[in-house]
Amino acid sequence: MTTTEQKNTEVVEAFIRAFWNGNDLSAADTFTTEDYLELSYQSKEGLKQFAAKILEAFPDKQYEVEEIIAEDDKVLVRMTVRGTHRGVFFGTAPTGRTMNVTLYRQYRLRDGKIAEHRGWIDMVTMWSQIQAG
Amino acid sequence: MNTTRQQQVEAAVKWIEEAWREGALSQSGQGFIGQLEEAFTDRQYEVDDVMVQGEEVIARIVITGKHTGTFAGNPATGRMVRITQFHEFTVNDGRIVHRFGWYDTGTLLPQLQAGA
Repeated sequence: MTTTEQKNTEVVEAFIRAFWNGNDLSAADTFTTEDYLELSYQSKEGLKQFAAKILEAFPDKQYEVEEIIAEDDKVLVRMTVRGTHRGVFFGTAPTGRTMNVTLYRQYRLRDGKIAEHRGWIDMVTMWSQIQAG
Repeated sequence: MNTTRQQQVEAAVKWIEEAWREGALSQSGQGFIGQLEEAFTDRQYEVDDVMVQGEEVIARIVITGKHTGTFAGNPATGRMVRITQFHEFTVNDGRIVHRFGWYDTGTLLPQLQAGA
């Protein structure tokens, strides 16, 4: 692994800690490039809105990095997100059930900043966990 | 002996090809696999991206299929859909171990819903 790949991995880990676990929405600005390309939530604002929505629905949500690899300018991370459904989530009233869902996020970095993001999450499993019973 | 990146990628691609032929590519541990295999027909796959770091190899593939049966409460639409799947391997000295396989459904569900 090159030093850039090592550095990129550390930046992504720090971003996940601050933004997804620390709920610091401003990390979406401080960790990213001016021309940041958001391929899953339309824009930086869309990313923040989604994070806020998830936080409202799952106030205790925590992401755990299970696997992370870097190659060239890319960093790919597999995580598990766990949380309790205590707020409305896409129109579904809180059930108090817990989710434990796998997701992947792929980042591209430039000069130590996140320049692109794309994400994948198992929504079918997530819905079945919070709607079960 | 070091396995080159190219050899690692080729090993992963070959594993996927064989698993596809044997119908074993769907063994991911996710609860909806049986339903997914019934709901999407005429399936084909292509390798979208492969990343390598040390012995670790992660491949992303895209499966295209026709939505001809109910999936996650969404009745057949007859649409062609694209389903992303990740596969994680350890590849070293010509040995390959498949560690993890996983379907994304976050990008699949919107393709099945009305007006998509």
